[in-house]
Amino acid sequence: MPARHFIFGWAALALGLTGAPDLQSADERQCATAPRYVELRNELDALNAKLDSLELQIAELTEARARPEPAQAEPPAGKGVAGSAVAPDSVEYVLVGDANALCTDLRHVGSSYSLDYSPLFLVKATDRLLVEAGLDLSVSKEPGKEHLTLDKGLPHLNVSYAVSDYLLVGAGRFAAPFAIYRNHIDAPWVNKLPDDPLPFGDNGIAPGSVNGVFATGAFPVRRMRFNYAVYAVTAPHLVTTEPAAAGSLRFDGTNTFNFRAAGGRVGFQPVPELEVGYSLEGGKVSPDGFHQKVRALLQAMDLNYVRDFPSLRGKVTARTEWVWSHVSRATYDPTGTLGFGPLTSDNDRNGGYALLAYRPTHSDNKVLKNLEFVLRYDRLSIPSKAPGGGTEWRWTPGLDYWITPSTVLKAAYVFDHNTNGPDQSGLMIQFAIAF
Amino acid sequence: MARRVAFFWIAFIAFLLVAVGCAPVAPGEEEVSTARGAQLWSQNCGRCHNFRDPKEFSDERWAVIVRHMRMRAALTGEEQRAITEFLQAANGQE
Repeated sequence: MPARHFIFGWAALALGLTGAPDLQSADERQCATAPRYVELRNELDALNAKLDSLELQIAELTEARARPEPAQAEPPAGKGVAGSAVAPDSVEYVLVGDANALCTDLRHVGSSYSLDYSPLFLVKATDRLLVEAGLDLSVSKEPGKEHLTLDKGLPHLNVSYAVSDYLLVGAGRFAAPFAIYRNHIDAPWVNKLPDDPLPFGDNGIAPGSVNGVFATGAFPVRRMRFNYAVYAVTAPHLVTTEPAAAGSLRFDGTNTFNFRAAGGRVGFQPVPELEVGYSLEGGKVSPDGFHQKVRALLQAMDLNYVRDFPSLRGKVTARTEWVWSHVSRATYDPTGTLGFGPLTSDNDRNGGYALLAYRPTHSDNKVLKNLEFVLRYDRLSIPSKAPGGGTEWRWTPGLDYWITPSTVLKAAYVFDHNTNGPDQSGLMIQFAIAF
Repeated sequence: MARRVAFFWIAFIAFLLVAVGCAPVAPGEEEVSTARGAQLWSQNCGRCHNFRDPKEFSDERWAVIVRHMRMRAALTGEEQRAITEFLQAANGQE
């Protein structure tokens, strides 16, 4: 699809979504039905009762403070909990993170199981200075393997400093602010489906954790809001010697400390419920010793819309991201010594996803209001002449049950189509929790 | 292509200069209302994830977590302080 058409399509979608609430009639907004009136009256009574209770508590506290203090006061309740410092000027630290258990049964692949634990340690040294260190620990049983596999990763290890209200700078290892999936959505208790969309998966075309420096911030303009991020980081690694993957980019951080890539993202919120963004990253990706200088340019557009619709009795999430990857023309295995060359081809890849979710939050049924219905389409296109070339696209309907706001049980079935191999359709079940 | 990339960087540098230039509001210097914090919380946090219960964390922990989210969600310093103040007021702990 030409990029121009895609941009026009997004603009139309953004305008449509922004304008949608205005279609609601004035009567619908201003009047309430008789049952709704009774409901609102009950809520008001409950709030008044709470207010009375709070006023009583305030009066008791005021009276207690007026009394002379004992020689050694007890620390107030709720302070000094595990993982928190007490004194306001001291270093404060917190252990947060998430964990999940995932079972998949995919056609032509088999069954697999995994347990992941991702703690994130945050240290707030001063009001301006924050250090974060995150680990990924995973135990999995892969199809066809008898033994468990243990994986570990370090997705976050950085320090950030708030220069002003509108500028925050940092350095270290961090999730690249390229599009929004890796930086905002991929935590299992946030992601509405058990797996990653194709462009952001293991063989995807978008950066994940990177090493380098960054600056980020936001500023409101009237009722709108802009945010930005720029970064200079280690470049992705161009695969040049593997017959099945030559020409693809690996975002695994193996190009350590070369700082050959730079990028950024601008986000725009015309209304609080909607954000659209554009991301760009460019840099030299060929490894040292490769006979050609190869550059890559990655671009992405994202749209995220979340709104509670009383008329639909629930919350709607509409989210889409699309990534374009251009790697300059190069010849791999030019002498044929590796057995697959010389191989020369254009190397433009693209992929993305669109997700729609609905949660009936206004339902009176306690079970129904915690269910969320999800549908995602994702796609990844690789040039047909490149190793592993072809197009894969999937439809994934899913159902989530939110046990708490940060604990979810997900079930989804993926319908996979792949022009370059057997499909991997199947069932996925995941339990995820944040702490 | 090089011209486009150069234009992008010039625009971003101009962006940063404006951001730093109209900035220096030191943390804690201005009064922020809990109502504004509640509004910012509902507008920003719910766009990516469900709202966590304010009672889930103590005052100190919310201060650290919202500072962390300032980096992730590109909040301004004023938004960070307002959201923190709201969550600390709403968690029922002193």
